[in-house]
Amino acid sequence: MSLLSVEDLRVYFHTRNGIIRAVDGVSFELDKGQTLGIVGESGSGKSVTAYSLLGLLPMPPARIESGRALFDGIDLLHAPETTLRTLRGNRIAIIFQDPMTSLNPYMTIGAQLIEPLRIHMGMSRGAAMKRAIEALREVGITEPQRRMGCYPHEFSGGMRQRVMIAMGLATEPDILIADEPTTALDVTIEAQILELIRKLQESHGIAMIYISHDLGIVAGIADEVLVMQNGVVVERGSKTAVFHRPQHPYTRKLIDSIPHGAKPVDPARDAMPGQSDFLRMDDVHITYPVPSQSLFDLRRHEFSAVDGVSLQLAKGEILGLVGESGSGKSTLARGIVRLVDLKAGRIRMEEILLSELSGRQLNATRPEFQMIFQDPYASLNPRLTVQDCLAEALQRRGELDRKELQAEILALLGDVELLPEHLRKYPHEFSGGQRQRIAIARALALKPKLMIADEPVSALDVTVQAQILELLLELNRKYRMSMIFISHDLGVIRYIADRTAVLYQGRLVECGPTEQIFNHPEHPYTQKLLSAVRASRLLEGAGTD
Amino acid sequence: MNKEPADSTLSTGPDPARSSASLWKDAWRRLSRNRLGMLGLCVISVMVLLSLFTPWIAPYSYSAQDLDLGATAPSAAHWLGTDTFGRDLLTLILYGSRVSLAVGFLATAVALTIGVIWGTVSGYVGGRTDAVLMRTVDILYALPFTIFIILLMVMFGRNMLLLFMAIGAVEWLTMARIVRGQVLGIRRQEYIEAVIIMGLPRWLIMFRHVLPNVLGVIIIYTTLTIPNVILLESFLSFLGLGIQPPQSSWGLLISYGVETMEEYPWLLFFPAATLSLTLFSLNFLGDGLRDALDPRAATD
Amino acid sequence: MIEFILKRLLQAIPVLLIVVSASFFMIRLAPGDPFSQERALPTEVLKSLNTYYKLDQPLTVQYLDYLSNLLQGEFGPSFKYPGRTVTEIIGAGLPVTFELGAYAMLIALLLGISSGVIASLRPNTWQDYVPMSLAMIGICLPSYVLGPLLVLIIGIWLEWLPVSGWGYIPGDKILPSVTMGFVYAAYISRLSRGGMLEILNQDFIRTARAKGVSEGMIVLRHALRGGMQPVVSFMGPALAGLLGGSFVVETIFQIPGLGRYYVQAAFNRDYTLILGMTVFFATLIIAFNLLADIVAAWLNPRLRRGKTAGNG
Repeated sequence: MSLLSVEDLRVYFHTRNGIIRAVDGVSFELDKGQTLGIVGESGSGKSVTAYSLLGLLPMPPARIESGRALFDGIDLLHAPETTLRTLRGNRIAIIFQDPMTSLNPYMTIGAQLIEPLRIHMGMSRGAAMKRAIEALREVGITEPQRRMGCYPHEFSGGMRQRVMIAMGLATEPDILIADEPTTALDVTIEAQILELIRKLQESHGIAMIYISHDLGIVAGIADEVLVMQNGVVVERGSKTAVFHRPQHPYTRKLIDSIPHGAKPVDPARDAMPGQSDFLRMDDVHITYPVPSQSLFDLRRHEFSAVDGVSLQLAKGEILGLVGESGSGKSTLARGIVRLVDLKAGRIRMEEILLSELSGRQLNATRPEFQMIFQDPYASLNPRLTVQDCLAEALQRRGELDRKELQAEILALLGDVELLPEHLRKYPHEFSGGQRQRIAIARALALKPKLMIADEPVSALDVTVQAQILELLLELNRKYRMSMIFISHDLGVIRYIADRTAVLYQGRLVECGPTEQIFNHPEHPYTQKLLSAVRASRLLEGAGTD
Repeated sequence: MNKEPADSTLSTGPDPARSSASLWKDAWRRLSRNRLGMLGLCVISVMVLLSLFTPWIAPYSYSAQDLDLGATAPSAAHWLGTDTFGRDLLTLILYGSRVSLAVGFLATAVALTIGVIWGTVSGYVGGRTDAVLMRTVDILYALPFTIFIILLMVMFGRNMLLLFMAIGAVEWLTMARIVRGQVLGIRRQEYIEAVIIMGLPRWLIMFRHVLPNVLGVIIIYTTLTIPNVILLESFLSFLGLGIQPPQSSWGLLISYGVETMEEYPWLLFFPAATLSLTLFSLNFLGDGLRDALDPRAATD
Repeated sequence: MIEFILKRLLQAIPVLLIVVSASFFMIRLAPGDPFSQERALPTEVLKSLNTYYKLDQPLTVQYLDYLSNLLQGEFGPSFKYPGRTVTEIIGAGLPVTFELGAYAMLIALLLGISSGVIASLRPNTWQDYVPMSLAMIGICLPSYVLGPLLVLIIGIWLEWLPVSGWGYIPGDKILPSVTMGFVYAAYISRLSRGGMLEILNQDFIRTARAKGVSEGMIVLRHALRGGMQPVVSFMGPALAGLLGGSFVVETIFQIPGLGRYYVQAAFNRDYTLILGMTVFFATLIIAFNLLADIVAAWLNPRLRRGKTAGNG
C-alpha cells in the first residue's frame, strides 16, 4: 500500500482570459521512504501539483476539476480545511524555493520554529524550544540556542534554507515536499543542502517529493522520476531509465539541452592567430562604499568587491568567468563597461585605456563594448517597441536614412532569428527567450568589438537556454566578436568558453583553457566547485550519443 | 546539442487575437472597465465644463441681489434656493466652482512641476545631490505647513496668487518624494544600464527612458493631489482666511451655510454636496488610475 | 536603536530652530501691529505699551530675547488678554484639545484598523466594498462639512446629543470626537487594508499556511505586524492633522481648546500668542513624528537589529 496515491489530478485556473489547464491528468504513487522527483520547465505544472496536495492554491482562480489524492485513507483534494490543517506541517511538510522570502521577517526564527510543534504536538513552550534547538543543531546551525532569538535577515541564504528544513522536519512528517529548494543557492551551498536533505531523509525514513527544473539534480537524488510538460506526465521511470534511455521526445530534448561536454573545437579560429591581449585587465580593484554601523564612526568604509584581478582576453575568444555570489564577477563586468569606476588598476582594450576614459570621450567609445544582462524582463524598456529599441541603438552609430535604417534592422532581426512582424510589438508580448534575443540584437546594433554577457541564460528554461547559447556561439563565429561570458553554471561555461577564469571573493583563483580547468583543476576552490557540482547531480554519460 | 529553430510563437497570456498594444492602451482599457473610475472621470469633466462656461450658463448675474426676497428654499425660479441676500445659490456655486477648481488645478500644477523636477534630478543623479535635495525635503516636511499658511494668509492678506503658491508649496514635497522613489527604482533596471552603456546622453535617458516609465505614478498622484488642494483651500476659506467675498468659493459658501443651517439648511447642503461630489470623483478616478496603471496594486 | 533615536533627535533640533525663527520673523514683518486696530490711542500710551512689550527694540534684539525666554519655558505675555501669559493660555486649552485628540484618535484606530483588516481578508466582497465606500465618504467629507451635518441631523433635528461645550453636559464629547476621528478612521481603514493585502500576498504567509497555522493566527501573529506599517507611518502626519482639525471642530462645537484660541489669535493679531502657539504646535508635531518614526523602526526588525551574520 503506498503512502500517497494520486489519481488523475486535474487543476484548472479560471481566469478572465480563459481557462488555464495547469495540471491535466497526473497520477503517481509514493511509497514510504521513497524519493520521487518531478522535473519540468516553467509552466509544466510541477509546483501546482505539489501545492494542490496541501490545499495551498488560491481557490477562487484555481479549481480541482477532478482526481483523488489518497493519504492514509484521506482524500487530500476533497478534505475539509480543518483536516488539511492538521496534516500541514505535521504529517506532510513542504519547503519552498526562496529562503529569503519564505521566512517571516517580523518574527524570530525561534518563534517560527516552535509554531508547528505547539500546534500539532501540543508541546509547551519550553519543550518546543528545546526540540527546536535540537532541530537546528541537526541541520548544522552552530550556536542554536542563541540563534533562536535571531531574525531571518541575520542569516545567509544557505542558513535560512537549513532553518526551513529544520522547521519542516521538526514534527517528523511522513512526507516532505521540496519545491526547488536549492535553485536560489550557490553551487557549493547547494551541494551541502542536498547532502543534508538526503542524510535527514534517510535517518528519519521520510518519503520525499523533490521538484526541480534541473534534471541533473533530480536524477541525482530521486529513486523514481516524473517528467512533466504542459500539465501532463510525459515520461516516468527509474532515474537511470529516464536519464540514460529517455523515450519521450521532450525528455530527450531536455537532456540534450543540458550543456555538457567540452566546447566543440573550431578549426577556423585556431588557424588564425589573433592578438592574445585584445583586452587586458591589470590589477583591477573595485570597491563599494558601505554605511558605517555606528553613528559615532565617521570614517568612510568600503567593501572590496574586486580585489586585484588581472586577466587577458584574446581577439575573437570567449572567456568564461565563473564564481559564486560575492565573487565579484558581475562587478568586474560592470567595471569594464564603466557602469562603476575602478578604485585602482587599468583596463585596456586594443590601444584604448578604457579605465581612464571620461566624459565625451567615454561616450564616443562606448559602442565598442556592450553588455547583455541576466533578467530578460528588466533589460528592455517596456514603453518602446522592438522597432524603436533597435532604431535608437542603430542611430547611435551614425546617421542613417530611413531605407538604410530599415535594412539594418532587418539584418539584425535575421541575426537573432526573429521575424519582421515582431517589430511593432512591445516587450511584454514576448517570452523570456525572445526578449533576450531582442537584447542581443540591441547590443549587436552598435557593432561592438567586445560583448559582455552577464548570466544571460540563467533566468531561462533549459530548452530556451540551449537556443540562446547556440545563438551566441554563432554570433561569435560570424563576427569574430570577443566575449566575456559570466555564469555560475559550470556546465554552461564549459560548453561555451574557450578559456575560463575562476573568481572567489574578489580574487582570481585560477585561469586557463577551459578543458584544462575542468579536467585538472589546480586550486582547491576550483576543485571544491567542481566536486560540488558532480556530487549533486548526474552529469556525465548522458543523452543519445 | 541540436539547433532548434527560433521560437516565433508569442508567449501564452493575454488574448493573442488582440493587436499589439502599448502599455497606455492597455491601461486605458483597464480603466474603462472600472465603473467607478469612469463615473468619476465623467463627473469631473462635466464640472470642469460647467465651470468654464459659467458666465454663459449661470441663470443669474454674479452680483445680482434681491434683498426683498431674502433666503428662499429651492423653487422653479431658483433651483437651489437663495441666500440671505437673495442671491441665487446655483449661480454662487457655479462661480465658486471656478475658484475652487482653478485653485485645485493650478496649485497642483505648481506642485507637480517643482516636485517632478526635484524628484527626478534627485533620484537620477544620486550621490551628494540626492542627499542635499532630500535632506531639504525632509526638513521642509517637518514644518507644520498648515499653520504657516494660516500665518501667511493672516499676515499678508488674501492674495489669490499667494494662496496658489502657498498651497502648491505644501504639496510638492510629497510629489518629490514619490517621484524620487520611482526614479530610484527605475534607474536600477537593466534597460537603463543598457542605454547608459550605449552612450546616450544623460538628459536623453532621463526624458526618453526614465520619465515615460514614471509618468504613470505621476498621473495617479496628481489626480489624488487635486482633491487635497481643494480641501485645503476650502478649509482656509471656511476659517475666513482664504477667498474673500465678493468672490465665492465652496469653502466660503459652506461657512455661510453653517451659520444659518438651522433655518436654511439648503445653504449648507448644496455647496457641501458639490464639494463632496467633486472630491469623490477625483478620488475614484485616482483609484481607478492606480489600478489601471499598476496592476500589481489590484487585489485580484 | 539608541543611535537611531539620537540621530533623529539631532535632526529635529535644526528644524525646530527654523520653525521658531521663521514664525518669529514672519509675524514681526507682517504689516500692522497689535495696537493699531483699536481705537486711536494717545501717543504716549502707545509708546509706553510698545516699550512694555519691547516692540521698540531692534528686531534682532527682540529675536534673541525671545529665544532666551523660550529656553526657560517663557512664551511671553499675551497682547490681547492683558494679565495672562501665553503659557497660561496654552495651559488652559491644552488638556481640552488633548482629550479631544485622544478620543478622536482612539475612534480612528479602532474603527479604521478593524474595518481595514476585515476588508483585506475578504477582498471584493461586501465586507470589502462597504467599509471602503464609507472610508471614501470619510475622505471626501471634510470635518467642517461632517460636523455641521451631524449637528444638524443628530443635534437639532433628532435632538439625541448636545452640540456644544465640552464637559458640561454628559455626551457633549461624542459628536466632536466622532467628527474629528471619522476622517482619520477613513484613511487608516484604507491604509490597513492596503498594508494587510500586501503582506498577505507574500511568500512567508504561504509558509505559515503550509505549517498548519489557522487563518486567525496567520492574521494576528504573522500578518498584522507587517501590515500595520503604513498605519504607523501615517501616525506622524495624522497627529499633525488632528491639530489642524481641532481648529475647525473646536470652532463648530464651541470647545475652549487651543485650536479656537489659535484662530482667534490669528484674527486679533496677538503676536505673542500666535508665536507661542505656533512654536508649541510645531514642537508637538515634530515630537509626534519622531515618536512615530521610532515606533516604525522598532516594529521592523531589519532596522532594529544589525547586519547579516556569518556565512554557510
